[in-house]
Amino acid sequence: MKKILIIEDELPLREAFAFLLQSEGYEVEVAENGKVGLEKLKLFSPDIILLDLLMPVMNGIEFLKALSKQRNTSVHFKTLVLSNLSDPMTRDDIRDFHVAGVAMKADLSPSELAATVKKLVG
Amino acid sequence: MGFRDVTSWGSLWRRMEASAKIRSHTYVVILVFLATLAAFSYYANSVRNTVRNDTMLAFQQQIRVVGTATQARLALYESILRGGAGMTAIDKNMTQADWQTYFQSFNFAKEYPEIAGVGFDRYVTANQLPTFLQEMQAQNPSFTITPSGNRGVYVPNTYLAKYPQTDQMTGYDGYTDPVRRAAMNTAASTGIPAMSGYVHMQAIPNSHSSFVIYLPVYNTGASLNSPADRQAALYGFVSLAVNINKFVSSLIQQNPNANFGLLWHDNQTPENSKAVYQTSNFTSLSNQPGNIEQSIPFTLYQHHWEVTAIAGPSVVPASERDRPLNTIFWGLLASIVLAGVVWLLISSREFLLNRQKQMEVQNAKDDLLSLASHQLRTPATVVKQYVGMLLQGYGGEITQKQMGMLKHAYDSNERQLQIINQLLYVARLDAGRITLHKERTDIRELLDQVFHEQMVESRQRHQKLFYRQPKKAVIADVDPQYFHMAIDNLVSNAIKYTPEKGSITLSTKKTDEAVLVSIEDNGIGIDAERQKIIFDKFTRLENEMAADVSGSGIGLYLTDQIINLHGGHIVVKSTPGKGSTFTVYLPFTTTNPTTDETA
Repeated sequence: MKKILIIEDELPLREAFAFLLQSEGYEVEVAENGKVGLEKLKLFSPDIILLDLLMPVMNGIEFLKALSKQRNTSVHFKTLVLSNLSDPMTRDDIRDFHVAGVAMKADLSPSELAATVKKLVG
Repeated sequence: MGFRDVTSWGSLWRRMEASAKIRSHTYVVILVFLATLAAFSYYANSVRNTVRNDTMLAFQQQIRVVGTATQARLALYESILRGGAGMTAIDKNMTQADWQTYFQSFNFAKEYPEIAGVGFDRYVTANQLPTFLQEMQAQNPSFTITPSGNRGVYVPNTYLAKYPQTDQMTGYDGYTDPVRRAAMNTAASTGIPAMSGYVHMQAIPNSHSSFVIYLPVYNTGASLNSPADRQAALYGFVSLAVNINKFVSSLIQQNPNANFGLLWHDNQTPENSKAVYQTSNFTSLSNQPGNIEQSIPFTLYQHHWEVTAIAGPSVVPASERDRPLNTIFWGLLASIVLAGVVWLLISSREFLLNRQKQMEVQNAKDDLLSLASHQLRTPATVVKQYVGMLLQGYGGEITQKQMGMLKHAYDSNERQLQIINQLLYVARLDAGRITLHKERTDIRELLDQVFHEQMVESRQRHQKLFYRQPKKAVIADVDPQYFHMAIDNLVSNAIKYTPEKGSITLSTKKTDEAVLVSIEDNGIGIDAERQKIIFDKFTRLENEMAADVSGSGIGLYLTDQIINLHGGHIVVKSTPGKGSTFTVYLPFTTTNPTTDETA
């Protein structure tokens, strides 16, 4: 069973994504910000992380930076940035971290999101 | 008051503010101009004073030259007088011939043309007259004293040298002339030479004005301690008559200057107070503006004269004279340049400040919009996800009725998200913060994507969507994301304004000048008046389909702006009731390829 870590501060969205992806047969763990996400990574090894950008405590970019510093080469997971920030500068910032994909949350319907995840991790 | 009215008031206020700024700039610039001009005027004034001082110095130099020449000449005259006095002292029986012989050596005609003559005038009292006449008539039987008549004292001329008409004694009694008498009396009582005022030479008809210098000669061995002693011992006078005209001319000729003139007054003899001599240039010089005039009283051999010296402005060189004017000219030029520079500095500084302020405001606006749109999107996204899951069966089975309701909710939510997106883009566009990242793109493929994306929507509206795809690639340099958005908007618009069973056709082609993308529909069309405003912000077409059609009124504005950013334009051809064709022209420029590339 493929594992997914959802890092999203908006509770209803976090629950919606978790419900959707569990329905699609994934094992899902959730975190409300980047800091909690890093904590979860110590015990949970996901195949893909769905990462929001604008979050309190530790935002998505800070999470990616922290991750790039401590990333264990033996751990392989993909990152799909799911944000509503369309600022091109933000996209440039993300580009440095070689994320697997960037998508606007508002653009994806549930089935499209499921399809996107499936395309990335199978 | 409508939206446009508010805008008008706003722009009016901005214009007023701008004109107030321009006024304040103008004041500063005028102030700088005037201050610089004032500084230069002050400097020009000091230059003018300097030039005036220089002129005065040059003038006084001229006066000094004349003064020195006069002194030197008078010293010579005195030596001549003393020579004559010596003659009479040596030989009381001297004759006219002796006198003439003595003075011939001086060669007056050549060396001293201004000397009218040198004579000896004997001082004769009434008692001495008979003896004197006997003595004189022994030498010259025709000798008489003129004017005739009985007087207490006679001072007739007894010897004379150098009159042009005669070298004979004239017998003229100069003592009868008050001007000569005054000089004789002064000379006799002081014992030193005395000069007369200006007189006419009796022996010379129509003679010019002259002055006569008298040197008293006393009887040998007499006491000369007091004026009375000297009067008692008086024997006669050696007199030297000088033609004033020639005298002054000869002085000036030594150092001629066309810009320097003299006017000579007898300042002592009341009846002779008019000018006795003036240089020929005096009148013209006194009429010249900027001349310098100075009256100098002076005393020559106990007679008071006054010379008015005048110098024309040309007494100093033109380059010197023009300095104040040049200073004003350059000052004016410098003032204009400086004022211009200040204006430029103020303007550029204000431009920079305005720009900086504008940037700050734009940044703040942009950040706010980004944040606001994010905040607006998030709840709409939540709605989309939950309604989407219900629609797509993640929440279990739902009835057809529920499905229809949810579909309306989902569509409304989609429209809301689209409006938020468009507003965000418009805000960016207006802030000039959309930068195109152009790539060489096959427009054919880009249209294919749009075609497939819009297929679902057109099918739902029971329309036919066609795409006439050319066989060859149509290459243009465009920003794929924004160009896609523009074409997508046009197609979406065509779908909205075309009734059911209508058709929409996409096509693209390449001409010699441009890449063309056309979206043709057989929808409701747009009348000529509305065609003019469809690309304005917040314009929506109002028609019978309005209730069916969703839109923010900014889609076409955004599309037009994006095409403009690409250097292109959109042409609309439409007939109400028959349909519309929107054609995007992307002309070939340096940024668009001109070669015919095929895939």
